[in-house]
Amino acid sequence: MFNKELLNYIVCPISRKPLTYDEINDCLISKEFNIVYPIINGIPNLIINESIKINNGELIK
Amino acid sequence: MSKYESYDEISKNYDKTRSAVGIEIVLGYILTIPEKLQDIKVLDAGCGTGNYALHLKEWIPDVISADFSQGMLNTAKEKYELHNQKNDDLIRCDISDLPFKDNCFDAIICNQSLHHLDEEDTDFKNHQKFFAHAFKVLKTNGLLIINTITHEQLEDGVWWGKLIKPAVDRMKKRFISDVCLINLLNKFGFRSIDKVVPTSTIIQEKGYFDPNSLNKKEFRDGDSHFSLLTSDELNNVLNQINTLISNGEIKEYIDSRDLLRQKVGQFCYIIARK
Repeated sequence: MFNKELLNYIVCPISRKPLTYDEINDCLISKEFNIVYPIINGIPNLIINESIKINNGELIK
Repeated sequence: MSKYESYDEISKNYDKTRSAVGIEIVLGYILTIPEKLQDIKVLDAGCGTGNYALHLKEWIPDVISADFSQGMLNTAKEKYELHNQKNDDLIRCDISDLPFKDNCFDAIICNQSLHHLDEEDTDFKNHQKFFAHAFKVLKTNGLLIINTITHEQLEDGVWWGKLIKPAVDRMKKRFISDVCLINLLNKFGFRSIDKVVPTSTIIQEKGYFDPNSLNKKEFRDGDSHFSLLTSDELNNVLNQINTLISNGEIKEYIDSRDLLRQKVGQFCYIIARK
């Protein structure tokens, strides 16, 4: 389970802007660049090279 | 992010020989922060299996753990739960990018992690990215507490240092010298930089003086040097040690080498303030 309090501290490593939590897909979204960061075992993965680009509402790596 | 070790694999053996050596130095400096421990926020950058963060969590409720390795983080998360500590505050990231808001932390600790950031001969570019981001995410007067190994300690900080000279020479290209480190910290705006060398502390204390320890992979997994030896070089090292053992010369060898360890120590802390 992702701890939403972390949103008070973490940012997108590319845009340096706050992230949004997508509860349905259990992932973090950087709206500025349409990038998704996965959450594994409740641990957000903010590694740039492992992020996923969003295109037209679908997740495309 | 380690540029030369698979920490997802090493996480399985890491805690068998490694502990939070020097935690008293970390705590001592953190106690210089004027705010109450209950009110401060600390980042463990390169937390590994969470040995340091686990100690800090006993005193400080708000400790964030960050590491590149999912395996290390999974181990840390289980460990925190086992010790009834908060375990939903871990972040997987490249600490060169430190994905945190500005002016967020009262202290950042970075234990034996800097040498994993850069490839050889890259002018420590990722170190510099880390220092730049660390400066930003620290609050004013915040502390950056770095645990590292000097080049002198790489050579003489362990009794087997001379035997693994090829690895030590390669390590020297990955470990920034303490002089360069301090210069870089100054360059990025840090001040009041201290250096502390605990000469009586041994990193892999359990089994350190046992000459047979190096024959065990789980012991070698606790020392990054060994991942930089080729299999031929490793076999050569083990053959030399086993020859010293069979000749009855190993105790004298370890004792003489350990005199140097007692003089230079095995690691040092560099503490800088924003």
